Amino acid sequence: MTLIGAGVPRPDAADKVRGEARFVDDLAFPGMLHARVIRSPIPHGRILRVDLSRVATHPRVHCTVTPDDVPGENVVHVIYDDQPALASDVVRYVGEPVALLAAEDRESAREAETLARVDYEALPAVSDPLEALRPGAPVVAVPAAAEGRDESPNLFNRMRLVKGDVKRGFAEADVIVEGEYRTGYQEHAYLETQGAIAVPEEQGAITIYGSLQCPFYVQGAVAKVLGLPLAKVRVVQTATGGAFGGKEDVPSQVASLAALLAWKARRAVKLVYDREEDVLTTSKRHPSVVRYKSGAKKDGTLTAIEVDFVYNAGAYQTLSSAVLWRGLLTAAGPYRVPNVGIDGRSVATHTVPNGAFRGFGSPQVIFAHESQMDSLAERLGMDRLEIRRRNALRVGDETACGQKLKESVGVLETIERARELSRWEDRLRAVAAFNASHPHRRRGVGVSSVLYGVGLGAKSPFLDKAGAYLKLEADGSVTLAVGTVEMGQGLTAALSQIACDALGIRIDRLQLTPVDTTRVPDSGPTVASRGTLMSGLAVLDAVKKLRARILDASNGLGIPEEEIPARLNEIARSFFLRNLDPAVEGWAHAEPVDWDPETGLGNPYFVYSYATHVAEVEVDLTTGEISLEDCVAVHDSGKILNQGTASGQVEGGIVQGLGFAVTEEIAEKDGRLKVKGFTTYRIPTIRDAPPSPTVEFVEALYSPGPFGAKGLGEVPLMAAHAAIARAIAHAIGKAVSAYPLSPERVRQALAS
Amino acid sequence: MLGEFEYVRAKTIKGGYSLLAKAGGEAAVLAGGTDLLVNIRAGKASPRLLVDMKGVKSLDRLTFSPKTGALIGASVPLNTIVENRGIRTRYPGLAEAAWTVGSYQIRNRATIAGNLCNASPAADTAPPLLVLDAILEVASPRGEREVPVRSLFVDSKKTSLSFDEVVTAIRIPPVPATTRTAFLKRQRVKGHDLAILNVAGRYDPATGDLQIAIGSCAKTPVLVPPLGEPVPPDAPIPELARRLEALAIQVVHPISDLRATAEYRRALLPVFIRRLLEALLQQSDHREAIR
Amino acid sequence: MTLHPIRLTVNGKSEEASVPAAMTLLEFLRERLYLTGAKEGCGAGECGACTVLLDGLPVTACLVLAVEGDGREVRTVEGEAKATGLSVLQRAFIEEGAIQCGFCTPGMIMSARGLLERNSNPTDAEIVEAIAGNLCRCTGYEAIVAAIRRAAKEERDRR
Repeated sequence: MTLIGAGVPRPDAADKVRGEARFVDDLAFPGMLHARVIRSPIPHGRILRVDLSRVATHPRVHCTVTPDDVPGENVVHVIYDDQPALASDVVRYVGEPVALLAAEDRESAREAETLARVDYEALPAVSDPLEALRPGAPVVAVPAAAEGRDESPNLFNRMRLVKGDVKRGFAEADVIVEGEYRTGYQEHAYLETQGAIAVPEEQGAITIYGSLQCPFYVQGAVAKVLGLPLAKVRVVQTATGGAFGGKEDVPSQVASLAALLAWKARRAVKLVYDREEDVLTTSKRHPSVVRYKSGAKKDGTLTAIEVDFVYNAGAYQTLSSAVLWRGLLTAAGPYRVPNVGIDGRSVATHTVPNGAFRGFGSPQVIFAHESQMDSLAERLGMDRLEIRRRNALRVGDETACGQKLKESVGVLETIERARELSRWEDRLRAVAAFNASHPHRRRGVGVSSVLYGVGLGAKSPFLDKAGAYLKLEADGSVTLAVGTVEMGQGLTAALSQIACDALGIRIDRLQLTPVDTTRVPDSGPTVASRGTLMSGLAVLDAVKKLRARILDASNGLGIPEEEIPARLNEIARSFFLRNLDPAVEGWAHAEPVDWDPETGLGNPYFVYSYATHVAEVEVDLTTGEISLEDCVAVHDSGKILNQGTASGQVEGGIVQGLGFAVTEEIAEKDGRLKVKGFTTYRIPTIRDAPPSPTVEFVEALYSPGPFGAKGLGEVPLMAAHAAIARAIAHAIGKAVSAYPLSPERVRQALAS
Repeated sequence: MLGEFEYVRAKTIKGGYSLLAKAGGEAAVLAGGTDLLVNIRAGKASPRLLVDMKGVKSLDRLTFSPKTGALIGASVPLNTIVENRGIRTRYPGLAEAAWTVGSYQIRNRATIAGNLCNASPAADTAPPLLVLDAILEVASPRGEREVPVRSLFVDSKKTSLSFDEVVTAIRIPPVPATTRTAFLKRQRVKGHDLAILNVAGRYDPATGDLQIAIGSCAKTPVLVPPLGEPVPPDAPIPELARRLEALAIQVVHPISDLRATAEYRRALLPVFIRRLLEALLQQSDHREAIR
Repeated sequence: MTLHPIRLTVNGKSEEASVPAAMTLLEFLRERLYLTGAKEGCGAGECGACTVLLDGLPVTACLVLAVEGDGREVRTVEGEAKATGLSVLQRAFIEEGAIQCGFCTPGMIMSARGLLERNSNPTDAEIVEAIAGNLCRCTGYEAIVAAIRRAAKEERDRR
């Protein structure tokens, strides 16, 4: 094992530094048309008339599409199929697609867009989830999508988790703390906006090229909207300029729209969103309200928690039920809690549908559970790191949902290592000294510990699988295809390492081909920090099969096993000459999971990753300004296959977490998002990032994982934002309860 | 593409304003383009013609001498101003303000003339130019005239210039070597961003002359009315700050926008006045704390 | 629509074209010359993904008109290394792990190139200043600073 764990350079890096990686907008096809989407300007209304006659007479417009032109089902297929591809009678959010046009060039498409005339009868709208639950509130949800409609027509989903006896748990507690926490929108702000190109093919087929995380979701969505068999839809992922969950469900919509135009036009159609359109009309992190009550004994031992949380899902379901589910199963944190009552609701409002975003419904409850831990520590006069250490899950413990943890539980190690690396006690003293010496600047230190269930778990166990295709070429080089994607996270490097290590070949002798739905079976989505784990296992399975054949062949050639890597070209040649099958398919599926929706208990995930972050901030009390001075991040994601890419994930997650907790905000008024693009939505710049965060991995190996690996991608953000928020609270000595902790909010907290 | 417009690169100043005059208000001067082109793309501006003055050699010059002050040609990019030794030494508040406009890339294009003529309430170079009594040199078919920056701003996004007038240069009068200037800005992120509040001040300990100006706190950048008496270098800052704040309140009307609420701007005002005074009177450096 | 004849040098090669006034330099590079390295991330000069060198200075090509490029010299990421090779700067980006999704990378490289040409021995603060106008959503920036620092040293050592 030479390549595993090493900082091997990414195979996709050279193209990227040379500017030769081909992102979707870098591609063109002969005769390609350019699309624009005609969108609703109002949050709720009845469509009275769609008049595209002036659009159609524009000399450069090739065609328009309205709901009547949809050959298949007029839906964006995700989970509930409640979202139309094109609204036909009612619009439910600002930016909802109503009609489409394709023109010979981008400018004409833009020009023609302004010629569309759509008349609406405006209807009352509701944008606040708590208001949407009140009797008499305007109805948003399509009845079939509102699972909780008996309770409220806008209640998409309600999920509960009940373990032990919460009442008794609180009776046993020496201290009880309660809090209400709110978080706002967070926009993914991937640097590359959404985009897809749809190309009609021979034999009634279509190919989609796109910037996306989930090629098989897109395949399913396009097949449904065009009314085609899955076999007629091929999806090829182009280089993807960041995703963070934002390209999980939304590309199904983007590709469906492009496909509708291409199908009618019988020509290739490119649909690439501009930044303003992307920020206004695509999914974001669910705004939340979390009420949290925790009880603990004098020694810090948790006795009970009671959590009630509400997520603003927006107008359509998309992924909200899954997001809510993860929130439910993360709300207790990485702690032993004997008595648990958690109640989560996702609510429809007349706002853009919210979806997946790094952490997937967990960051909202993490802000709450980590704030609660600090409140308990404060009430008990206990060190904040110590209270986490005492309650941290260990092997053999039961999680809040009753799952017994058999192995690979590194949270305690992350806490202890974070204590050492941050010089926790010294740092607290240094901060106190700084604060005593400065009139209006205050430093603070915060800690946060998190757990993350890797993979999709029992909410959609049928998705935790992956395929791989591996072919020994006649010269001994190797072609590999998988079904999960590179979107910046480093999957290409990790999977290439796994394959090359097992085959004993150099990285440059292996070609990992672009992800293409025709090459491997449905491998599930590239989400939930599952790429390396699931595709890694599929690659290992393929490698095992190919190695067996190689061994056979080398025996026949009299080549000793240790010489196989050096003489692979000879062996490959013999495959060719002797008509041996040089290609194999690998397959992997996750360990079984189970979960009972009645009680909320079970074994929802096959394994968990963990992390503890310590952050230090400085706050200017007079202006409320915040500066992230330092961050120590310790992660247990099992075996780390590539130190370089893994550290990069953590460093990036810290800064994105800083954005979530501090700088990123979208104001909303009457269902309208007050945001234009990067001018109004400020993500952290290099000046905002901590100069040199410390990143370390403790590796609690997961035996079924590839070399013991679990998942990493989402965890850094999950831990970072809460550590930063807690550091701010520590600095100002006041409770903080709403994100983003903008200077204004900090000043309000100071005044409270 | 950014819509539809024509483009002419003027070779002379006269050529430039003649084109503007002929277009009758439907033309715009293209300087750095970093505001204009964004506005055109966003549909906020739709000129029929862009008159690029960057081909006029004389607008390219930046001259400085302690005796005559600075003459900044209308096409001089902000980075040239930031890097100019004379400006940095004699008008550090202006160099600082110019440096906070956009990013390095933007400042390789953006100009002071553009920053002023765009007439954003948040224009960073406006407060220092207000306190420095800077003057715009303007040319039109009616001849040349001088427009003090103090009478330039009429309303948000509106100047007192006529549609056929071309700014050719910004003249900054000389100041004694003892004069100090400072600039402070608050923004949402530490990197490039528009101001939530920006303030600039000028102070001469030899004469006690003090002037401050505030941006992002009214429809235009505003000059705070003078105290009416010299300020000694050892003047107690808290009291002085209170008096200036009282004067400032007469001219500012903070509003809530996407960057901050009116309340927050109002709350920052005394803090920034105090820090500005500390920078001017005690020469303490608050910049790191601000950014 | 009037077309404006322009003549400019792009990556050392002289180019002639006729362009409409409203065409940006970014569009000209990407759609006329097929130099798709520079990216549109925002179209408003906020993200820096379209950074190219105009007469040696970094600018956001989305806010420069193609016609303004007449008579000038433009360099893009495609001109950073010869043929299929890698420049010292590009190699440093790879070795320091400064790349994730790669969408901001061409702009970062050009901002860094502009810096190294005016300052062969930049401080960390100068590196930060040079790329403060380039947004990255993946890396957290630290590795990018390390890459530019490393490239500066290696380029100095070569001289």
